[in-house]
This record gives sequence, C-alpha cells and structure tokens, in this order.
Amino acid sequence: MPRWGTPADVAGAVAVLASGQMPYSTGDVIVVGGGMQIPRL
Amino acid sequence: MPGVSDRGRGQLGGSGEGSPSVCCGTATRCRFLATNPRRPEEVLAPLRELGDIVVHSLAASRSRRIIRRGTSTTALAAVSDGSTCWSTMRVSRRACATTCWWPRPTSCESRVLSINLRGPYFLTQLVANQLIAQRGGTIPTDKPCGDRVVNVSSISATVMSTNPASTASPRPASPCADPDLGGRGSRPEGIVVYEVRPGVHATNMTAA
Repeated sequence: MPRWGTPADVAGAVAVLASGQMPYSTGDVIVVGGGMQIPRL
Repeated sequence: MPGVSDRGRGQLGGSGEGSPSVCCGTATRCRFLATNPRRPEEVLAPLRELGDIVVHSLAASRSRRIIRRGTSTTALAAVSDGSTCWSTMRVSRRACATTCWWPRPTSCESRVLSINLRGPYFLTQLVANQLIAQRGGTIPTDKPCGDRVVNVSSISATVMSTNPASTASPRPASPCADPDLGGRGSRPEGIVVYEVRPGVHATNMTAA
C-alpha cells in the first residue's frame, strides 16, 4: 500500500482481536505493516 | 467494526507516540492507561466502538522511577475494578517478584527478560493472574475466548531500527513472550494472548 500506516490502523486490528472474533487462535502475531515488511523477490 | 460478544479483555500497548500504551476492554467498557497523555483521538475512535472508554494518563517524563514502582499497583487496582488496563512500561524486578507468580520463567525466557523485556511479559502475567482470580480460579470450558490479552509491539523487533535504543530495546519482548504466553502459559487457563505488530506508521514522532 502506497502510504504509511496510521494509529487507527493499529487500533482497528486490536479491536478485532479484542472483540473475540478469533476464538480458536492464541499466541498469534498480526502484522499491521501494509506489506512493507515483506521482502522483495 | 465487530461488536463485543462477552466479557473479553484486551490490551493495547506500545511505547511509541502513535499508539496508546495499554487498553483493556470489556463488553461494556474499555479503558486506557496511557504513558503519554497526548493520545490522538484517531486511535481511540475505533476502540470507542467497543464500548465506553476511560483514559488514564501517567506523566512518564516526570518521575519514571515512581511510575515504575507504581505501575503494577495501578494495574492491579485497575484490573480488580473489573475493567482496566496496565502499562507496558518496564517494571522493577521487585515489583515483578511480588505481583507475578504465573508461570515461572524458563531459562529461555530468563534470557529474554535479561535484556529488559520485563514490561509486557510480567504485566501480561499480572493481568492474567487477576483474570483467573476474578473468576475464582475456574477454567471456562464453554467460553474458550472469555478473556483476551492483546499486546502491541512493533516490527522493529524483527527489522533493523534506527530508533533510540531506549525506545527500541523493549520491543522484542512481545514477539518473544506473546506466543509463549499464549501457548504454554495462558491456554490451559482459557486466556488467549495476541500480538499486533505495527509496521511503519505516521505519528507525531515522524511529523516534521
């Protein structure tokens, strides 16, 4: 994505996790990086 | 934004300017314990949809030592109140020893903790203990996702960072500790632990 993230992007991810919509996952890491963390081939 | 179905709790942490230090939400309430009182409303807005939000501020720059000592006490009182939050600020070893007893760190964890990663790890333990105590030590088999902890770290834990060391050094804590807390530590107790790892994002630290 051609932009920097915003604090709201992070808050949105936290809101989803805190809402209990993923009841069968734990110890998982959600990266909110807009794909910038993915190395180029 | 999805609604909150039950009494889940979450933590939103991070030492950066862009994210509130900690959030612990319940079905009806969501509270922050912010180490920086200048929190942008855009952070709080999505979380307000989870319920009412109360923001607590600590003047981190005024007396860090006092805050370190008081963090665990504040967190304990807040969680006992049935709703709130704690800070991911580093806490003293003494405070950890007196307030955290679950689970006992392994040798691998001790190495992690030895590089000053105590904050998220021990405070997650602290709150998890309180969550267990609040329900009388029982394990809810019918609600596998009753209690939730969400730690916020940073991709600077895995990507080279040029941030000041004092800011960057605690950040590998959550990537190391959260999967372990979520698996070995809290899963048998019915508490799920997540980590949100923000990438590069614009904050008032990056402005100008």
